[in-house]
Amino acid sequence: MAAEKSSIKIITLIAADGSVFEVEPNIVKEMKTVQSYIDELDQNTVSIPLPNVFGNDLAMIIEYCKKHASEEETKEAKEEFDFEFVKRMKSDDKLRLLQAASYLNMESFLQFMAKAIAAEIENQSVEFVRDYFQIESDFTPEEEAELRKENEWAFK
Amino acid sequence: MNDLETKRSRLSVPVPRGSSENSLSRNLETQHHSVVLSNDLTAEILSLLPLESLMQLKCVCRSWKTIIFDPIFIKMHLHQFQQNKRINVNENILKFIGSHNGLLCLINDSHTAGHEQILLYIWNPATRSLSNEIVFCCEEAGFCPFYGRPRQRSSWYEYRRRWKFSFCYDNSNDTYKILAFRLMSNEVRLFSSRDNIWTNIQRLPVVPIDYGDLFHGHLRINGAVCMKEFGVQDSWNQFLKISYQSLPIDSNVLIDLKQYGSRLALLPLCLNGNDDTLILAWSIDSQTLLYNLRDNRVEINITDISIEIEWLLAKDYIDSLVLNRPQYFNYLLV
Repeated sequence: MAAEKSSIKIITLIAADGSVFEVEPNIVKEMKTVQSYIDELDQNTVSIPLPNVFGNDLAMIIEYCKKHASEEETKEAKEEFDFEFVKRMKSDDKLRLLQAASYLNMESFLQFMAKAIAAEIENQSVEFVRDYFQIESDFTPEEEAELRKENEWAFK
Repeated sequence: MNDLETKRSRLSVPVPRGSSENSLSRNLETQHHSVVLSNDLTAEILSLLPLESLMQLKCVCRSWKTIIFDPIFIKMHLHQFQQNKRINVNENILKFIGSHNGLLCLINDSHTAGHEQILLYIWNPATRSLSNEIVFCCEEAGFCPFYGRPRQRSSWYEYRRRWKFSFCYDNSNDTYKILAFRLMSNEVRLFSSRDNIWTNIQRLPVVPIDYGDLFHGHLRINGAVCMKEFGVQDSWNQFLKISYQSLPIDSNVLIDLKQYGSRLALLPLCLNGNDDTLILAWSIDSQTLLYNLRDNRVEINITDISIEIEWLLAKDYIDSLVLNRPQYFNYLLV
């Protein structure tokens, strides 16, 4: 890894709102976007602007990464953490974290967030899902009625 | 760096850059109401949902409907759910030949001997759509389709003269194929969803068995030979060979194989996700066997199902969105 090649000790991440986070290299390993910055620069300390991630979200992502990078934590403790982690979030928090995961190119965190969201909307009504994603229907009432009719078995 | 730029451009959130305190706090306030996911991310979430949910959620908005029926999404979804195979038990009216990617190949069995056409269909039970009929013509009158079996001659004779069908998926070019073969004339014909026609191909290198047929020393298993390259005879490969010794047969019975043989049959049902355990239907006592491919060990699969299942007629199946209409066959399965 690049972190081992050079002697970077501390990475500074700057969120969209200007808040600053100092983390150890192993915490950002999963953030491929950040990693590609580090690979390009060869300095002892790096500071990386992340204009698409807000401070609150970045703090949560770092918390998640810290927990998962820790070798002392048991698998059960990590699972327990994951459970609590999504439990305290509102739907738009989850969607924003999913976007952030995509921007930071964090494969497993993205999967984790996508699963958390999928679990919440599975077997929910169209109305619930529209509300969750803040989506307005752009079907005409006739089109929507037609679609629902076509699919009555799924609405049972 | 390009990769990074792409990643960034995938995001559709408004990005505050070098903004003053005021505009920043405005942004922070509004961000909670303006999360608009890109189609890629929406697809990522939707691909984790079961088909029933998707069929319902296609009504959410136009872009969701487009995502759900996008060929790449269909593949992504299929990939996620590939592990949840179900074993499907045969139905009566249309006989079930096989299943791939959520599509079932069915044969119309109501034809009696003497008809010169067999009708086949591709059905997606999850989306409830049925293909147009695929017509299989037999030049010779008096053939006997699939299961219909007037038994005036020996079953071996009947077996040899019957056309048998097998449904295949060729993942090298995303084509569904139906293989028809008949032992008596040693004919093999292949129907391809790409060009929608039947073509004659070379004969089979080994004799595929119906249940009840036995060969010397080893059971040959229907479906246990696979063609690596469609239409290339040399590409037939023996997939596995199961020795009698590893089967749970009483050793006294082994002495008289011929006598026992008429009741012995193994039929592969499905391979588990790690490709190391094969589930086989076993004609004795309506059981299934678990065959471990790593150490050639066989176990009887004890299930707690109280109903008796005709395992030899079972096929595996998964839900999918794959479209079965011939006109879609050519281009929708990218």
